[in-house]
Amino acid sequence: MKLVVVIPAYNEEFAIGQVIQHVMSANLPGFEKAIIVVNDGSSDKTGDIARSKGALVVRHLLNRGVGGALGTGIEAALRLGADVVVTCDADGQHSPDDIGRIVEPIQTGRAEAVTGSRMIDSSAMPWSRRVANHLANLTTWILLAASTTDSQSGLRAFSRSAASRIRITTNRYEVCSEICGEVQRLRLRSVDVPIKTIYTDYSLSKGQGFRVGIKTLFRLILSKLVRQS
Amino acid sequence: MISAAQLFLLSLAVLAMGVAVLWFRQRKIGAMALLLWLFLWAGFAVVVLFPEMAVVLAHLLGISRGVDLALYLSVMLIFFLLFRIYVRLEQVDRQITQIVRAVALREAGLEHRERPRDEKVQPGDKV
Repeated sequence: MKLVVVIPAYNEEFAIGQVIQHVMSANLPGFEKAIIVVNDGSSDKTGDIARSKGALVVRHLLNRGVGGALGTGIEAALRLGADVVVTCDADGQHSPDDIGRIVEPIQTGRAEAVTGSRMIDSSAMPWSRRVANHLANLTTWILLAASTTDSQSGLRAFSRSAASRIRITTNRYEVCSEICGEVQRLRLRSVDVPIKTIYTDYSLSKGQGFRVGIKTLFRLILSKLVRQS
Repeated sequence: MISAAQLFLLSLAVLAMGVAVLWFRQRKIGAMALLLWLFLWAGFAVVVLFPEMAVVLAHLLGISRGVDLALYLSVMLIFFLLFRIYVRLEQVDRQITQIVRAVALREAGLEHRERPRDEKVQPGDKV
């Protein structure tokens, strides 16, 4: 089975090298592994570093946001012939051991879409982030009728058929909720698997703060009003 | 008699209508937009010429002054136009992503699929 890990990255030269090494070192018996880094219009050395570490780099000429980059990465993974597609943040907040845990339900056929949930055991999460994530889950449930323990997670796994049917139209962080909505719309069998979150000053500085969170909410509502092309 | 202020506002309306017609001829705007625009400025001109009409209309709607009615309507119109621009912008944003994506995949040598996409239609899938 071919496993393709998709890492959307925008100006992540400090973290991307280590993230790729971690993913490469993840022990996944029975899988042939490939890594796609979507260099989302970075102005730093993200692309060069990713290439030197052995990832396939797909380059966005313009910065399109994490949603646009995920859409490109998943499409690229499918074209590479992936049987399982994993999405992973580039800021180093995920533990490589968790990739095996989120892939397992797909390998065994128990699920088609897996969310690595930081919220099942959120004791390490700063309280403000915990509140924000609960609010995000509530919003996702209200707007998209999708119930999940961690709507904003970056670590997810999809079977090939699930990945090829999910339609990503949004460009920025609202993509997290959009994916949850797609899982719901397509009635995909899904599970949430607890994962660790490695909070460093760096990874905290990279996520959504309050201001971006409000923007995401606004854009999510707007995205419901825009006709899909 | 027509006052100076009325003359000024009227010429403004005529100018705006002229510009709209010009844009329509240059195919910058569609027929619907032209009609809407002409209708709006015609209404504006009528109210400038016969301010009493605005008062009558305002009273019908329970608003005491004609000026207030005009103000409410213009604010509503501006909100509507803003919203339309926002939605249009979002669409353009998504189209840009599609182009950037196509270029990125081509550059990475992935324009062709090694395996066909699963296009099975499942229950709950909008076709």
